[in-house]
Amino acid sequence: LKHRTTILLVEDDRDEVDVALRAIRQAGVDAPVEVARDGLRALELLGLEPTASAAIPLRPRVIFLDLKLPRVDGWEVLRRLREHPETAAVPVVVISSSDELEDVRRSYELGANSFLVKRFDQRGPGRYLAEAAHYWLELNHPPPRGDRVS
Amino acid sequence: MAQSPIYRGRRDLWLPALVVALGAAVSLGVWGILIAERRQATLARTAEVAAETRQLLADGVEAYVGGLHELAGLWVLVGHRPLEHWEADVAMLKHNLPGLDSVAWIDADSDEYRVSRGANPSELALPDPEDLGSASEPALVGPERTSTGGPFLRVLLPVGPGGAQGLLVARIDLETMLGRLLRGKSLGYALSIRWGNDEIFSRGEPSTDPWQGWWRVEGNLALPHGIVWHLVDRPTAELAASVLTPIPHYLLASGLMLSLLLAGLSHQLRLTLRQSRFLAASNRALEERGDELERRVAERTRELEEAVGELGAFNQMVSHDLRSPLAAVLNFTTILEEDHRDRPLDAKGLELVQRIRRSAERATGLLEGLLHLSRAGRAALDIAPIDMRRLAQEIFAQVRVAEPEAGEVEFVVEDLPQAAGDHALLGDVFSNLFTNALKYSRGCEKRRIRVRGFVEGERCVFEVADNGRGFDMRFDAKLFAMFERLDPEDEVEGTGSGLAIVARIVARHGGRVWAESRPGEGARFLFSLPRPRGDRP
Repeated sequence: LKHRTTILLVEDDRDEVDVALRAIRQAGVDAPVEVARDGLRALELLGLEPTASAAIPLRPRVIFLDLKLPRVDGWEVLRRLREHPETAAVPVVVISSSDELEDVRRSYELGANSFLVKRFDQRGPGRYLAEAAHYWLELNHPPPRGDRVS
Repeated sequence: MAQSPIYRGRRDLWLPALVVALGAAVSLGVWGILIAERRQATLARTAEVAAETRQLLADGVEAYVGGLHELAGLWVLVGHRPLEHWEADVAMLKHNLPGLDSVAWIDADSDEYRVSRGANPSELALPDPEDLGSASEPALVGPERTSTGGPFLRVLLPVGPGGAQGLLVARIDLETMLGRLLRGKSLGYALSIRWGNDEIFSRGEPSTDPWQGWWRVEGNLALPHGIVWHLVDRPTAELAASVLTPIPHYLLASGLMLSLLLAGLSHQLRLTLRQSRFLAASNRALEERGDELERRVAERTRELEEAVGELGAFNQMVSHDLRSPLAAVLNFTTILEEDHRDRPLDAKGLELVQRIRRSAERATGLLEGLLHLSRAGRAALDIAPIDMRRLAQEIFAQVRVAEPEAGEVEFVVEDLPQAAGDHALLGDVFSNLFTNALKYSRGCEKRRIRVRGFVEGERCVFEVADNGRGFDMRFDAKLFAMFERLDPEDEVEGTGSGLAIVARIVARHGGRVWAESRPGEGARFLFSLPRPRGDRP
């Protein structure tokens, strides 16, 4: 099932997107990756924001979410995700260039499942992202679809 | 502090002088009234006493003459009295009239002389019996002094019509007579009686105080039988002391002292009042200074907060924004290294190199944006009236050089009001707004940028409008924040510092910046600035 294995990457920087995609492929994770270049687009893909095209809402296995985004920022996306019963339990991995305690704390308070600091990985570009993708797709047991974790 | 906080009184003594003058005038007035009243009362009393004395003297002299008359009448009535009877009559009369010294009788019929015992006929200056009969009225002669005493009053008393029956001559010691008449009378007064140049009576010591010189009653007393005495009544020291109390003088002295005291008090009060006014003024000045200090503290605090905010932006920029292009450089150089270790640099490799260069350029752009923002916040404002229309035209000419397809852009500047501001910084405002307008209208039909302006009270508002893609008003909170962008970076270039710089500059001019837009309908950026001082209504 497509929706069970999809990864949603919310990232505005094209370089970051390319590096992430390359790393995920190299790590042998073959799940399709949907990319949203800003927060609004991410909400549209998830069906949380009305859109011109009546596409089926995306239900990814994991969301990689940058915090600093054009239009709607990562925290707003996270808040909206957790508000909606359909998406309340979707694992969210925050990826941010910030490692400030306030940002980390706020992310977890809003319901993030993980917080990764963007970095140059000495072992290979984006390796840490690939490892996180592997963990959430292969090792982690996902929440039942459509159910809210209460 | 240049000004001493201690008040020093001026040498301004008109008030105490006035108080002293008024006090002295009132005191002297009261004193004068009291003295005058007392003087009047005392004089009246003295005049009363003097009148009484005069009456007494007149009556007394009349009584003595009357007594002698009786003696003479007795002779005439009884006829020749035997000597021993006459002597007894004289002794009785002497007893009744103290001072009666000697008496002589010259009988007209018998030419008989009779002289009282102990009398010296030569001292009595008895006339010849032939000479009798010329005078019929009693004559009082004096004052007479002899080797044995005096002064004496000699009384010549004719008896019978024209003195036909005889003449009675009596000598009276005036001192004794007057002492007897005035015994117990006119007490407290020194009395002096003169008869011609001779002082015939004097009693009591008059006060020697020259201040009491006014207090005397003096005048002639006309007695029967042509005698004129001169009487002087003067108070004795004892009477003066009892009547002339020094109370008015005490009042005067205390009045003067009181006015001096009041003068001192009023002067002191005036000094105190002035000092308190001065202190109040000083307090006000201090309070104003305090307010000024508070205001300056608030201002500094605001500036500090702004500086901290900028520091935060710098921190943000280093930790987030500058990190990602640098990470990209590292990532792509690594990828390049990995992928092209064994093969030459093909098209794919070249693309990687380009991306590396773009990331480095982006990092540079971010640093420059930060530098500009810092300059906008730090540069000293050189406020002057600005011809905004000319400035807009100049800046657009500079900006369009960098724009690839600027030739097709229509640029319209309407008449703009003058603004008060810093020429260079306002140039930056136009520059950033024009760059934005060009950027977001790229690819649109009939690109047009229009600048308008209008006056609104004390401020003027300027508007830069384009007909580009516009933006969603939901996101306009992010519009003027540093390094925030509404579009993914590869769609429209830029670092997100332009509008933050605009907001910063306008805020420093005391103005405000805002935007209005809808997706696809162009954007309008507005900012307000103060008007030049001379230009305001």
